[in-house]
Amino acid sequence: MRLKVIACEVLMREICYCVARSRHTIDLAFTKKNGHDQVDTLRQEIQSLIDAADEGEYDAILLGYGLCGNGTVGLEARHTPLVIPRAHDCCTLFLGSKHKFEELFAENPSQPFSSPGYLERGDGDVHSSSLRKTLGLDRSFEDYAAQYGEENARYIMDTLFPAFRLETHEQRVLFIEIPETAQEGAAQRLRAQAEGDGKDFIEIEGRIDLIRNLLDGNWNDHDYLQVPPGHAIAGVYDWHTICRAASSEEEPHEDPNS
Amino acid sequence: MVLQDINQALQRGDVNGVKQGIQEALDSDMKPRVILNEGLLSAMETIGVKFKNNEVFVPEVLIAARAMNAGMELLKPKLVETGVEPVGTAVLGTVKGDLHDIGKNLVRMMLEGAGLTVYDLGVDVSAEQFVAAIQEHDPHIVGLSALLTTTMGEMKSVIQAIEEAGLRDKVKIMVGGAPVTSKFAVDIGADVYAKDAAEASTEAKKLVQ
Repeated sequence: MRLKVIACEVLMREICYCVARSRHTIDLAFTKKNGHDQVDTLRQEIQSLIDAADEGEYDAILLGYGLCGNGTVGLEARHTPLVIPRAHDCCTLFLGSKHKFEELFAENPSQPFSSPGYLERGDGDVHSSSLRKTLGLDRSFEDYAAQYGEENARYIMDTLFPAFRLETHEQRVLFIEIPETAQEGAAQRLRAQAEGDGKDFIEIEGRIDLIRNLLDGNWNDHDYLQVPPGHAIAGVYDWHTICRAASSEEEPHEDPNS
Repeated sequence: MVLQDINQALQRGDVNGVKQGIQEALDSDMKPRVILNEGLLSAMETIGVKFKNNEVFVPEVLIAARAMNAGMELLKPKLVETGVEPVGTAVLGTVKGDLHDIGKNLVRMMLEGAGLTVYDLGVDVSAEQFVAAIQEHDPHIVGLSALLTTTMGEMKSVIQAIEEAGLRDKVKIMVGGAPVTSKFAVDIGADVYAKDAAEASTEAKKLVQ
């Protein structure tokens, strides 16, 4: 088969590893990490990459994403089928199955995680500096104090960045690394950083299976959604089905954040 | 003139300026309701519009809401004396499993800025806790927040629990959070979808009218 992969760049190591071993011919396109912070932009970017494929050029277009905050919800298959893993986000792709994701994250879905792909592209985990900038939270105490006075600055810092957060979900740093694509020294670097911040470092071994099967064309319905031409990706928001294909007659395209 | 001063002080988060303005207004026998509506609430409404238009950001809303609350402390006894009731009551929380609180806190502040009494249940709030809070506070509005596609489903569970407790007809349910959509709100049986804190405030005012 001739396939096109459109994926988030945090998966570049894993996807390139699988492409090199695939019997199919695969073209690649990556979007910037943290697309989940600006989902409308992410969706437009992926749709443009989908639309750039000529009719008949590919047998399928594979999406290396999950729902990603609804960044993939509403994406339409024009003339070529789309295939996307049934995943909330890339965490499932790193772990290798939605069941492993549920096992580790169902009790605490807010738990941040990291991977070599995150580490080698900036700020390390799913926390995002771009989101903070969008909300106006990227300024320092001194910046706020200069603009609004010290008392207000203290109030802003205490309210937005309370110390208790470190006692809850942010006290642990989860690092998911797939053995086949491990980056030498990455785990040690993050461990040192986490321990320096007084946080627990937890290393989890991921599995390449979900990404490899996507690129090998093994699209079982359990793990992947196939979106036929004329259909769009819709969210289901549970732990098992996660997404479905909606026909254009079934419901009008909805821009989730409009 | 003093109302304009209160309005401006509130918008720049100047607690002392707001208090001073309110005291002056009260000393000159201005009606508390007028001070509330034209001094405080109109300023918060302006902040809401500016927030929506990306002219101000989260920190500016925070300090404006703080100045509003400081002003209300001074004004509330006078409002009670003159028989002015709070415009409505809301119970808010981020649903179970979800620990994100900034958006929900902003909604709380904007709703308080709109004159509502708000009971904020915090984050990781179970369906049972929402039901118990409705029974305790008898609110007009229940606001549910979720920031993750994994926790959006919990909103449906909360609405089902409210239905099972026989309380669904007593409250209006508003939902919001980055991945939540108007279609999802309809699908799970919510009454209102708000895409941001400013819209939550506008919608809440409509609901309690």
